Parts: sequence; structure tokens; C-alpha cells
Amino acid sequence: MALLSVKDLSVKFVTRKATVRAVNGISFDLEAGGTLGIVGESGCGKSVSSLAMLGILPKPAGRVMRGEVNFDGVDLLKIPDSQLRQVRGKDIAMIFQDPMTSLNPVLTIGRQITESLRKHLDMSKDDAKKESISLLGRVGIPAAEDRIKDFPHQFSGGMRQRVMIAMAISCRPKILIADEPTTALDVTIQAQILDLLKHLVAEENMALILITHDLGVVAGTCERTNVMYAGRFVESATTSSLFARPRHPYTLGLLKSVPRLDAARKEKLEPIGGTPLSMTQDIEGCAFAPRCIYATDKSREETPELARIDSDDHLVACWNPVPDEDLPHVEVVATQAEGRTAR
Amino acid sequence: MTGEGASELLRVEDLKVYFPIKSGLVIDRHVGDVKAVDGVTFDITKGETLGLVGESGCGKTTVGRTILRLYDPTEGRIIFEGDDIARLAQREMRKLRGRMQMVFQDPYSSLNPRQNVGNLIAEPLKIHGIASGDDARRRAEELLDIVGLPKASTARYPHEFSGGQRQRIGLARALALNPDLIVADEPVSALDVSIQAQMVNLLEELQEEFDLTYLFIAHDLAVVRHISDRIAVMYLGRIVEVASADELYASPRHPYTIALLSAVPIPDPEIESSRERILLKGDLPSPANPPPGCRFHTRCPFRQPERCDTEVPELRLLSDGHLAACHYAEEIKAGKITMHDSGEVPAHSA
Amino acid sequence: MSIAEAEAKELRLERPSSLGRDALERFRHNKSALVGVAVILLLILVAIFAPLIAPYGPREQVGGLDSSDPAGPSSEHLMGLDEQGRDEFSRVVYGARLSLLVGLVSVTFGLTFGLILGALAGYFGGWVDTTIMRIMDIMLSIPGLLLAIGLVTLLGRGLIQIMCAVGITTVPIFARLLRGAILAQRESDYVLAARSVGVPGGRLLMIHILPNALAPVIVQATLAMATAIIDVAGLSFLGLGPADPSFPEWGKMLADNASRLERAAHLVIFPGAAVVISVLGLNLIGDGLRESIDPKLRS
Repeated sequence: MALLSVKDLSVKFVTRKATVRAVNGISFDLEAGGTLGIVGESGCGKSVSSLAMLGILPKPAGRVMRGEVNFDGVDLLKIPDSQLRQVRGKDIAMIFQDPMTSLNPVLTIGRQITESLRKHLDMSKDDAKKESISLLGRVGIPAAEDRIKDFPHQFSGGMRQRVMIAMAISCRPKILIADEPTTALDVTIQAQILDLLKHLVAEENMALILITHDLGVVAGTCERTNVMYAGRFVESATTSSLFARPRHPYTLGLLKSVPRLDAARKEKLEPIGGTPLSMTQDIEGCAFAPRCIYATDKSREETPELARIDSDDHLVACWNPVPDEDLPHVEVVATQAEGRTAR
Repeated sequence: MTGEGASELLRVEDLKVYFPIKSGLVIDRHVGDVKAVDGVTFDITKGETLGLVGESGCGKTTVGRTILRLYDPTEGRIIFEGDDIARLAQREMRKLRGRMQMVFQDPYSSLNPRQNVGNLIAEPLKIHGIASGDDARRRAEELLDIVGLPKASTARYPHEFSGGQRQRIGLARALALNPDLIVADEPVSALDVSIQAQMVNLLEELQEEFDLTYLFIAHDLAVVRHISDRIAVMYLGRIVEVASADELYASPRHPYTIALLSAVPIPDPEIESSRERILLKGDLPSPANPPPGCRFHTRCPFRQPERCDTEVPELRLLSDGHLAACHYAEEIKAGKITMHDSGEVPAHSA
Repeated sequence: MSIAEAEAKELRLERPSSLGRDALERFRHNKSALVGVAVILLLILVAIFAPLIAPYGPREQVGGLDSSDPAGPSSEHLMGLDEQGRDEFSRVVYGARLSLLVGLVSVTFGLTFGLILGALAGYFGGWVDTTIMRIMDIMLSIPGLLLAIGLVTLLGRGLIQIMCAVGITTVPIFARLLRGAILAQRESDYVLAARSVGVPGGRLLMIHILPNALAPVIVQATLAMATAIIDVAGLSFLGLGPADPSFPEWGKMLADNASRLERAAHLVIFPGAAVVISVLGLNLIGDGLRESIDPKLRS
């Protein structure tokens, strides 16, 4: 049985002005130690879905309309908040894009980590302190014994993100949800953080859900990737399948519109036409149809569901998946390995 | 690397921009400086796109704003179309504003929320006496059309538009005075991936159509490589390498450039799992207290015991046409110097 | 479909909505703010139509001089008679004029000087800023009412003097507020963008910075009016108000009758309630404005 099994999760936001269907029925399974990437642009619902899973949607506007989030056999959406609080932070942990808003600016880092440890694992004060020093060391913060006395603002952006990760893994969670963890970081720092996450996944057998808009990030970090558009998964596959054979026109469009550092320079980029969807209107048929070069009448009338294509573990929600001749062929100019000096 | 007959539009010589750090109880005392830009030299040819890349704190945004005299340089020359404008009085500078304009990074804060789009775009025309009233409005509509927005937008307010649309409004405003130079400060970083491509294409079209010269400041290397003719890489207030876009990627000469390129994630799982990545250790040093000698030596995987921590490397011309500021650039390329153990991390399988 | 066409369809054909219009919309839906507006509208109407509403003049003797036991509310005199035999209701109604006047004049006074000083400090910075702000700091270090008392002692008794004194006490508050808002706006991208386009200083301040910096000031102005009414009532209570003993000012009415609380509670309750209700109304408006201008503050 999968560690986490989400079925048909749907979330809406109700405000005075409009109702927004942020998530429109997503389903996925996550095995222990597996890595899943959820890729999409802003407004597609990727962050909202993880907030819904942990029961931390902004209230009262955010509401789960239907669905199941089965973790270790228990549906998280159906248990009372007191039980959910045992899971949150302990079995399933989350880190966010901006560590500054998730860390309490008036408490020392040491205090914040030990608080979590003592609450969830019932540790003594001394044990908790030792453990937090050890945790900071594991995430690569030098001079940890001194730094636990520091406040969040005394850390740089990359260090703060590491602190967040330390706090998140302190209780040895089975799943770590990382919502755009490196978007606000410089690219060299991003590389460090992603590397750290990969290490932790391997060492702790911790499952990872990585939410991002950056295709390069999932390419290097996740075994499986789901592409999200307008609140639904439009494609789900192993990462290598997804990039080699992007069958959904949106996935193809994303790949083609991003300039690749290692490919020959194109004359013009190929953007996806049109503008991203406004989520307040009811969508008839495929949400991507207005921007899709393969759209047919059926696309505009009937909403496609995820169905198998190419292989058992490659799913796509499309009436007119990308044909073979249109799959991308990248002319690689030079790989990094060649560009560098040999050892 | 200027072409035949092509003229130099902008030349920056040894530009320094220091921001004073003040401290004190009743009266502020000058206790130090944030050396945001510490001796930057480069030139841009008319019609060219020069990319300026670097990570946060490298000073690239400060360079862009100082060129436009939005900040005042502490030292150095800014020669625009033959005249040094570095110390020009603001009143004189206003007359030149029409020839150099800026596009800003954040579409949500770069437009006055209380001005409607028409007034926003027409304002430069009114101030410089080029057009007013109906004429100005008509010109604003033309500009909106050029950037691909409906003419009816003039009556609307910035918050009614999406991020990508707002960037276009900013672009329309920048074009209003028919500038020669546009400094684009991270114009696409805040936009969604699919909108970025539209914006980049638009910028390139406009460059063709209006014979514009761009200083394209960004941290996304792939985008910069796509749009630029040449690229300058900055680290902690100085330029460390300048080369053509293709050359920079194909054979980077400065250790920081090498590390930077190796850190950029590539949307290809096969390549990602097999490539060897250089992971720089630690964080960026503070611009208020930069390391002595070569600024990069504290994190450089190729650092040598001599010269690196004492002597500031000059930006010099290498045999393959690159400019690089590294004492050991030739030795590194020849393979005589290799990386320290701490520099490299073997690949992971995803 | 070109991108422009797609986007033209996106921008639905509604009236363009400025930030002001949006804020007004939110204000209209804020129930407590509307209550505040109703109260203040009532106050304004009462003040304007005082001669029509009040059955008697504010100084008109209608009953017997019975200072030891003024008549309580009756069908003839809704709020009873005061210690001089005047109709209390009429006095309270006419008192509305004074309170409104006081609130408006002192806040206008304070706003004018406060805004000018704040704008100078915020825009020019440097020693101009330091000098002005140190003076403001000194003024703020003296508690408002004490400062007002000191000023009145200097200027002499009288309504105008009180209004000026109270106005002066609000100057540092507005100055600070505006200066802070200007400093915040000055560094924002759109100001930089305006400068890069060549917008000269004056226009930069008036068209770009000020409209975006005034929001907190507007909110403070309504709250300052409430405080002004209380302060003037307080000054009158302390005997520093207008010298004319028959002046129908709520604070003075409270002062004159504080000793009669047991026997003639109506002479304390009604003017007191009038002050409280007016202040409450202004506070509700102020809070409503703050919430509608900055929607993030709403829960």
C-alpha cells in the first residue's frame, strides 16, 4: 500500500467577489522514500493542494470540497484537528518558499527546533538541545553550537532555508513537502539546497514532494513528475519519460518555451500562446484548449481524464496527445562535463 | 568586439558605487561603506545586447541604476554617446533621460497604483513637452499596441492587469521617448515561465524594429544566453568575466562562471543525473566587508596559496578573446590546476 | 488569436476601477463603518439645522432659575432644564455645531502644518529631516492635553485659542505619519521609474508620492477629530474654555454640572453621551477607512 494516497482532492476558495476552484480533483500515490515533483505555473493550484493535505488552508475562504488524503491508512481530511496536529510536523513536514515568514523572528533558532522536538518526541531539554545541534550540523550549518543562539535574521537566505529543513526533518518525518524551496535563492545556493534534500531522502528513506515551476529542478531531483494546470494534473509520468516524451501539449509547450543552457541558441523562443486561465470561471472541456495548437471540438466540450499512454506509468489527460513527430529533439551543444576541466 | 563601423553607445570606466553605512545615537556617523559596485568597466555597442549576470549582492542592479543616474556614482566615468554623464547635474540629466530608459523587475511595484495606464505612459511625453492632451493619449495607445495590449487599457489601472501585462505597460512607458538604450533590470524574473518567453520575444522584436541597445540584467543564465550577444559576469561588485554568449557557455574561463554554469539545473533528467556539479561552499561574503585580494577566493574551488588572497586580479584579455579576472585562468584551462576536494560533488541518480 | 486579442477579452468591459473606487466599495460593505457614517451624518445634520431642530435658543431662559434642582426630562423639555433654566436639549443640539467646528478646524490646522512639515522632512531628508523631526519629538514628549493646556495658557482663553492649541498638538502626529509614509514610498520602484523618465521633483512629490502616502494620514485625520472633540471638552472642563459662561459647549456643560451628578444626572449624561457618540462615530469611520484602504488588515 502506498504511504500517501490522494484521491480526487478538490479545493475551492469562497470570497465575496467570486468562488475560485483552486484544485479540481487530483489523485496520486507516493511510496515510502519516493520523490514526486509537482510542476506548474502560478495559480495552477499546486501550493493549495499541499496546504489542503495538511489541513492548513487559509480559513474561512479555503474549503476542501471532496476527496481523500490517505496517509498510512488514515484519511487526513476526516480526522479531527487534534489528531491532525500529531501528524503535521511529525510524520509529514512542510517547508516553504520564504523561510523568513515561517520562522519566528523573535525566538532563537535553537528554541524553535527544540520546541518542535519536545512537543512531538517528548524529549528532555538537554536531549533536545543536543539533537538540534546535531541537526544543524547535518544540514550543513557550520559552528552549530554557536548558531543555535542566533535569531533568524542573522542567517542568510540559504542558511535560513537549511534551518527550515533542519526543523522539518527534526522529527524524522516520513514525508517532506517542499513548496518552492529554492525559488527565492540564488542558483548556486539552490544547487546546495537541492543536493541536501537528495542526501536526506537517501539517508532517511524520506519521501519528498517537490512543488516548483522550474522544470530543471524536477529533472534533477524527482523520480516522478506530475504537471498541473488549472487545478488538475494533466500529465503524470516518470521524470525521464516526461521529458523524453511529453505527451500533453502544455508540458510540451513548457519545455519548448524555456531556453536551455546546453542547447543551440534558437532564433526565437516558442511561447505558449494566450494567457493563463482565470480560475473564477467554470471551465467547459479541457482547460488548456484555448491555448492548445492541437485542440479540437471535443477538447472544448469534454474534459479529458488521465489515461495511460506509452506505458503503464505514463498518464496524460488529453484527447489529442502530442504525436511522435512533434516530440522535442534537443540539439545539445555541450554538456557541462565537457565544458569543465578534467580532474 | 565591435563590428565594422558600429559605434560605442555606452562605456563605463572603473565605476564605483559605495553606499555609506551610518550609525549613531543622535547624529549619524559614517562608519563604513557597502561597496555595491567596486570598479566595473565595460562597453556596449549600438544595437548590441549585453547581458549582465550574477547572483544577489553582486551589484548588477546598482550598475543599471547608476548608469541612469538614479544613484550617484562614487567614482568612475559613464560615457554615453561620447559624453561623461557621471557627474552631470540632475537638471542636465533630465534632458538626456529620453535617450536611456529602464524596465524594472517587479511588475507589481514599478507602476504607480494611482495613475491610470494612459497617464502613466503619456507622462514622459508631457514632461518633455513632446505631446500633450489628446496627442499624448493617442501616442500612448500606439505604444500599447506596439507591446501587444489593447488600446482601451489607457483608462484602466495597473492592479487590473496581470504581471506579464504590467511588464508590457512598463515597456511601453520605456519606449515612449524613443530611447537609444534600454536597461532591462530582471524584466522577466517575476513572470511565469510561459509568459517569460512571450516577453523575451517581444523584447527582441522591439530591438529589431526600433534599433534599440539593451543592457539585460538578470540572474537566469539560460534566458540571458538566449537574448544576449555578449555577457558580463559579476561577483561581489566586480566583473569577473566577459565573453560572447556562446563562448561563455562553451568554455567559461573564470572559476565563478564555471561554478555558476554548473549549478544551473537543466530540464533533462539524463543530463542532470550524469553531470558533475560544482557545489560552492558557504555563502556570499558581505559587500560591506569583501574578502581581500580576489573577492572569490574564499569559495573558489581552484584557489591557490599565492596571490589569490592578496592580489586583486585585473580583468584581462585571454588568448581566446574572453576577458577574465583570474590570476590562474591559463593554468586552469590547460589542466595544470585542478579543483580541491571540497569543490566537487559526484552525481546522484535521481 | 493574437495575444492582444486574448487579453482584450480577458479585461472584461467593466468600468475601470481605481484604487479609490475599490476602497470605496469595501467601505460600503463594512457595517460598522456605515454605522459610524450614519452617526456623523446625524451630527452634521443636527449641527446645520440646529435652529430648526432646537425648540429654544441655547441661551434662552425658559424655566425658573432653580440651580439646586433643575427639572429633569419631560415631554416639554426632552432633556430637561439646566441650572440656568435653559432647555438642555437645545443646548446639546447647538453644542453639536461647536464640536463639529472644533473637530474640523483643529484637525485642518494640524493637517496643514503637519503635512507641510512631514512632506519637507520626508522628501528632502538630511538636516531638514533631522531638524524637523527633533522638534516633533520634543512636542510629542509632552502629553497632548498638557501641551494644549500650556498653549492655551500662552494664547489666552477662548474657543479659537483652544482650537489652535489642540490643532498644534496634532501637528507632530501628522508630520511623523506622513514623513514615514513618504520615506516608504520614496524608495519604491514606481518612484524610481518616474525619476528615470525625467519627472521633476515637485511633480514627483505631488503626483506620485503623496497620493500613495496619504492613506494612513486620512485614517489618522478622522481619529484626530475624535481626539480633538475630547480634548476641547477636557479643556473646557478644566475651565480653560471660552470665557462666556453661557457657551453651549458639551465639555463646558459637563464641567458646570459635574457637582450636580446626584441631583441632576441628566445634565451630565446627555452632554457626556453626545461626546461619546460623536467620538465613537468618528472612530468607526476611521477604522473602516483603515480596513478598506488596506484590505490585508481585514480578517
